[in-house]
Amino acid sequence: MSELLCMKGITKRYGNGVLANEDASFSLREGEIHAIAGENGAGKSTLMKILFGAEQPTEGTISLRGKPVKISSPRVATELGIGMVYQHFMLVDELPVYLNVFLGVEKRKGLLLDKQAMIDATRALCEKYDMPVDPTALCGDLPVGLRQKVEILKVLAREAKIIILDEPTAVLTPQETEQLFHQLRILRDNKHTIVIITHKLKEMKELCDRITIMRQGKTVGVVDVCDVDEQKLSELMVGSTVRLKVEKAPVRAGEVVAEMKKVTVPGSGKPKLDSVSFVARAGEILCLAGVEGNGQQQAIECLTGQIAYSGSVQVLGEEILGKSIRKIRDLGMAHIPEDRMTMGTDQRASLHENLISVDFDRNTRLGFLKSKHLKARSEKQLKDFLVKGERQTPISMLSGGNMQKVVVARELSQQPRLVIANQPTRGVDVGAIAFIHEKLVELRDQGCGIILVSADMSEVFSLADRIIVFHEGKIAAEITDVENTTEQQLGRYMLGVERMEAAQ
Amino acid sequence: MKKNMIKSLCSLLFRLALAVAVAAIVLAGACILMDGDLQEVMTAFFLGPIEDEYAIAEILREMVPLIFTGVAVSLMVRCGQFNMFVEGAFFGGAFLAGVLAPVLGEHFLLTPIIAILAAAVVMGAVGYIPAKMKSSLGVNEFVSSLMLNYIVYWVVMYLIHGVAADPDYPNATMYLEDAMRLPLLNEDTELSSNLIIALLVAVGSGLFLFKTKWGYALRMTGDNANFAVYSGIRAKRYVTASQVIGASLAGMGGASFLLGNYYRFQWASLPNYGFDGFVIASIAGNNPYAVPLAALFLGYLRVGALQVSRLGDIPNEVIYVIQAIIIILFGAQFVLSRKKKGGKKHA
Repeated sequence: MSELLCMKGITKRYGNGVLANEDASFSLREGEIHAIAGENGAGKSTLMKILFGAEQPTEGTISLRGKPVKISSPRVATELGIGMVYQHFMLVDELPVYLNVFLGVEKRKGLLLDKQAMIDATRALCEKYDMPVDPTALCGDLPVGLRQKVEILKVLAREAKIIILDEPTAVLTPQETEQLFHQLRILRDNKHTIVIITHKLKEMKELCDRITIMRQGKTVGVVDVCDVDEQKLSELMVGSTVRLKVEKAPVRAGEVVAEMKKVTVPGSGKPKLDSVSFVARAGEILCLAGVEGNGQQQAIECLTGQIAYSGSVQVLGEEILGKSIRKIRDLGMAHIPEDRMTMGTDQRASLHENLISVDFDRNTRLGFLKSKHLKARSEKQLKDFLVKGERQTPISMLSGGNMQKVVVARELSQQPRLVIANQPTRGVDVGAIAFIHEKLVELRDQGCGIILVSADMSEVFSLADRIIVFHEGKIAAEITDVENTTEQQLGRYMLGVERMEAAQ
Repeated sequence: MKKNMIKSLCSLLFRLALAVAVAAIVLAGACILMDGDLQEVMTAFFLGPIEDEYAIAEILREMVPLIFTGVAVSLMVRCGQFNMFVEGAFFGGAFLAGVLAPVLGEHFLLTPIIAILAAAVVMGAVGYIPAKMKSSLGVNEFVSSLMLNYIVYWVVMYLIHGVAADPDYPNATMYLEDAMRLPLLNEDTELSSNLIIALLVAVGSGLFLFKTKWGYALRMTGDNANFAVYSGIRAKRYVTASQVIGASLAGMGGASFLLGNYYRFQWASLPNYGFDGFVIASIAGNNPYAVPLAALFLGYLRVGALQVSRLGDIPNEVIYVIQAIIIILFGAQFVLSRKKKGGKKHA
């Protein structure tokens, strides 16, 4: 088979210094289904956005059918026959399917739209690729699975020969996934070339011809599916991580500080959390591990009172359904949120104002804030947590690491009995990571319960006393002997290759 | 904080100077076009407002409604709410005071104070409608409050042509005896004590916003509602409260203004003071402490323009052109300052 497309030495460096791709390469053969696999943040999506012209590479070359091309925008990509189906659909809900399909490339009859021609063309495409979509239905009325078909039709209507799908099965039920694979195979048989971004091993084995594996922005290997088993694949994806040395005393788990019983959170299609039960105890660090989008986020949102659920969630002995966030916090819960920019801080306020947000109303006299007391306290917190900034400094002037330390300082100064730390060190410099880890371990040793969510394997292994692995909204495994578990083993649970039967 | 304050103060002074310069240029342009005496016009514009105590009293009088509405808008914008009901509440508050004071009778100080408080309560209650619609149903407060202005306006128009009207004086409320009005500070210039109420409201609102737990929660909600909710602040409550307080202060302003400067309520149209509140709030950086200064500035410009129109060379309408330019200068800033991250000044 001839080489259709070749990307060489692709490096993408963002303005803020983040390196998304580093000397990555990628090639496609005509008429294959090719998977790009890797963990979150491995650089899969960036590489594909570069191919589709949505991002420009800092360095590197792309050639199509042997000729070098410069893909400066999605429009150019479309002209070259490259189409992309994003994970989040870009459809106009108020328009019928056929107008969505031909949006921007409408068929015209003089000055008017040629509705009939578009309907007929849409219907013809549907029949050819066996997609049961009614061209005249309103997009907003369609279920997720069919909306995705409309996205694919859009790409086909623009006569794309190379179709990129970004995690197409993330939102689909198993039946819909089956159907999608069937259609993708028809596309392949019609000389289309398909690229799918995924981290689901089963799907790669089932559907794809070749797999490009990425890790930390680099291409670490290209394999033929028939040559590898799932075991080998997961090893390639996870690699070996460095276990950071964090000093901590042997675990002495105490009373239950949080408990979920048969908690279900509905999603569009399949539930985000599917009858999940677990307990977290005082004096231990419980890590909720999993590939992003497998339910651990929803578990955190339930525990912190952000979303509704069915089942029972108890925090520090009390059922929290219907309780306000303030009430849950008052029970002794602290929460380090995933996104410090939009949730963890007020970017327009000073460090001091950011430090007092969770308990300001307990430090008042006749409604007036006890500012002297609060200011002295803020100053002490900034010193204790080694934040580089003054009390009055606007928080927006701080680096990510220092900003995160402000969040951590606020949350951990509340004498919490349960800390929920969601990606506490994401995007933070090495020094701050070590410091935040130390603080978390210190609290654990003092008998506080800690629930940690992290996508960083080395963080999981260096901190966790116990790991619960989420896969597709369910608990796939519970690992109590973290010391003697390998990254590969954890990776297999995370990717759904294996599951512990006793887990649920 | 000091450095930030100095920085934002400098940028404010620069904009004020720019506004004055633009106003002068427009005035000079109009003067040349209409064949006026440039020197005379400029003198009237810049020095006219301070030529005698009557002119100065005129500036102070002009400031009163601007302070009330400026503070009201500042409190709402600090919570992220763009509620236009300040206009309707000011109008409605003035009407209520005009109706209530004669009913209450002639009790020195007591009558005006009760009438003003009643106007504040009633207008706060009316302002609860768009506020609650926003916080509970997500209805855009800008549109609903704008509509509410017309509802209040036409209800007042209906009443003033009927039950609320003085039988001997069509389309106006009953005559306000001196004891029903706020006392004058100066008999000669007729400067009313409502200026004192306005200044107290500004200082009180500043304390509320920067020193109390409610003010803090209100500001956090306005800056980043996600953060407020995550921290355990009941953001929706503050979204509602900020608009109710704003409407209430505007109602109070209308009542104080009427009982200080008028003998009857007989406004036939919305007075636009509510919209001026947005200009004032933007000049003041939504800081209640700075609102009186911003009102002084705008009051000065307006009296200056009034003095110019008295000369007869240049028509009154030029004032509106100058005002529009000032609004553009500060209106743009208004939007920008809400988007700008950090560096916000604190009192």
